[in-house]
Amino acid sequence: MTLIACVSIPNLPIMVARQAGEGSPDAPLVLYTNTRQRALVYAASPDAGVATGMPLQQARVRCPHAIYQCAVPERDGEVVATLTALLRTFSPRVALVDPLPDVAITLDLGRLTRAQTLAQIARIGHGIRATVGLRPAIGVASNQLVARHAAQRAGPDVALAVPTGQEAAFLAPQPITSLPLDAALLHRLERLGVRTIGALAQLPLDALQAAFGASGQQLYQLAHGVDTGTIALTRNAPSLSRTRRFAGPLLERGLLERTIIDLAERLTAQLIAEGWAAGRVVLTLPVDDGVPVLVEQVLAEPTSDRGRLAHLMLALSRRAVLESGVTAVTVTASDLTPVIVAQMELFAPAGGQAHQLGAVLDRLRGGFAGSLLRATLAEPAAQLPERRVRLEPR
Amino acid sequence: LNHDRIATLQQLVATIQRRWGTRALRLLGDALPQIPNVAAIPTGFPELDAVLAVGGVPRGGLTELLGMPTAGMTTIALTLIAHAQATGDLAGYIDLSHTFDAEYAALVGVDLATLLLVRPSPAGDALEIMQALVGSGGVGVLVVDSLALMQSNPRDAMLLAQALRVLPGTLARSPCALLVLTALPYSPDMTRALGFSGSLLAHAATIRLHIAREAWLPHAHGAPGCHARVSVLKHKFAPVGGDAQVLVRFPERIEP
Repeated sequence: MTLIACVSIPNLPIMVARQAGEGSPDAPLVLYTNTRQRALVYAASPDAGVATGMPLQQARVRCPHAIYQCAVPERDGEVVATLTALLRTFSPRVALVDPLPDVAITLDLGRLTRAQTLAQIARIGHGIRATVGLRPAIGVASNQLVARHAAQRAGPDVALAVPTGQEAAFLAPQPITSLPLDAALLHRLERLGVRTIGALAQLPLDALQAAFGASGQQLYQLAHGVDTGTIALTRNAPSLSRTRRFAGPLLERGLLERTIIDLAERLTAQLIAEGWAAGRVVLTLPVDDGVPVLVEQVLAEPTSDRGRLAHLMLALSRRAVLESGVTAVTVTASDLTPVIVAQMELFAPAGGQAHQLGAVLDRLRGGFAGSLLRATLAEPAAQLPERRVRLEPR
Repeated sequence: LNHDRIATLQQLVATIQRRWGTRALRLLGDALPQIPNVAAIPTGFPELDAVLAVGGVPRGGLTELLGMPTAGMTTIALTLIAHAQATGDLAGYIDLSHTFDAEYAALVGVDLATLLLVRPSPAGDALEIMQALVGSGGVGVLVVDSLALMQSNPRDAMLLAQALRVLPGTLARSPCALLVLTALPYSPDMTRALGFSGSLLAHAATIRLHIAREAWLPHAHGAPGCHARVSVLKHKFAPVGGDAQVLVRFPERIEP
């Protein structure tokens, strides 16, 4: 199952303004805009006690000791654009779900293990702090709805991951006003005494359908933390390829396979150098008298392992039915994803596996202390066999 | 079959293939199943590698080696470990029978310094450790000696059955070649009881091999050893029924 992360930066204009040295750290800050000959609050720090969209005059009455400054929406827009571009380096599926001032961006992390998810979240957080200097709250869950709620509940520099299967339990204490429902529906629910998502989840589906018609199904799903919405692809995943042309049609399988292995190794070196892992491999073999032979395979998990990719390319070449000479070979790695996490985990050829194995051994040492042993030849010249070999905890 | 029946059969095959594709049904005489390209670790015994058809013990699969004691099972397993270590793989040995002989392993060529030796005190722990090591993706070959011992205890047998249901999936995603040694008792009646056929282990295995000693090597040949016959009882990638004679040499200890 794919995981969705939601990066939330509440009150982004205030954070950007404070970062630029505007206002005073000790005093509330209110940013306003002059639109339609009327000054309105654009963003305000929480301690000001004023709301976004409030008339400036009313805000000045409510919080006279705050510092009032004219907002710079263009600057905030640039920060959001930079943030979105940064997140697109982590996933091709990124969506801005909440615009300024309380920015929330969701991104599809793909299928990750728990350890990979934690590493990826740490990378995202570090990247945001390093690039725009802001402290994001990150929520991770199996869908956008729960991920947004998790991000809202997490504080700055905090990541909150909701385990798969725990979505309904996580949402239960939240007010129903936090669900993306229209005002009329919320009003009807409140009149029925349903104030939390947990209370809504206790209502059976047929009762909801009877009371709310077509919206009943949607309410039921939302209450149980089910959100089938997906994040659209915002950019095409890149691909890399290597080609070699032959002087004439090649019929010898052995030479063809050696060429494929060589090209696959060069391609892998390029993948590793540029920090990519391939999600799909394609082998194209143009032949001298017909349509090029094209064989491809989608990988269960992206990889940049040299041996694995070479093995896959070789296997693809053996699947290809060649009835005439091959004039060129093209090996392509597509659906590329950054190996930020992958390299740390199982998919890396040696280092990642050693890292993973080290973690597993640490865990096993904790649970099965006396079971993991190291055998050493202690006294090879000893008379008794048990003295020649020593078994000690690993 | 007479000509009419052959014609009818061919017509039926052609009809089915037109409707459901050529892969839906085919006569084995027309096209023998091709052996897929499976990554494998050479056992160190060329005859055995040849009969295995994939060049050795396949990675990502469970290979069960059955045989009576002194047939050469342990020597084959240790030689496999030595070969895997020589190519940079990390090896593990789960010693449920508590019979691992480190001195002999070193003589066969096993690098003891990098060998993960596991001796779980309750046998049930072995399954969890085995799954963790396989799932880690860092172990190239893992030898288990022997899971059949767990079938004597009902609770362990239940745990084994549960583990074997999920193990093939974990194994398929890892580069680990899992070799399970099953020592058969001398009594043929007990052979069936210990899962020679029909057990969950047999079902989960990618390859099952039976090894039987045929003759001891004469002393004139130098190092002790035996001729053993290895038969393929089950093979998911190649036809079963093949067998090979393997020369197993036991390295001699140099007594102090």
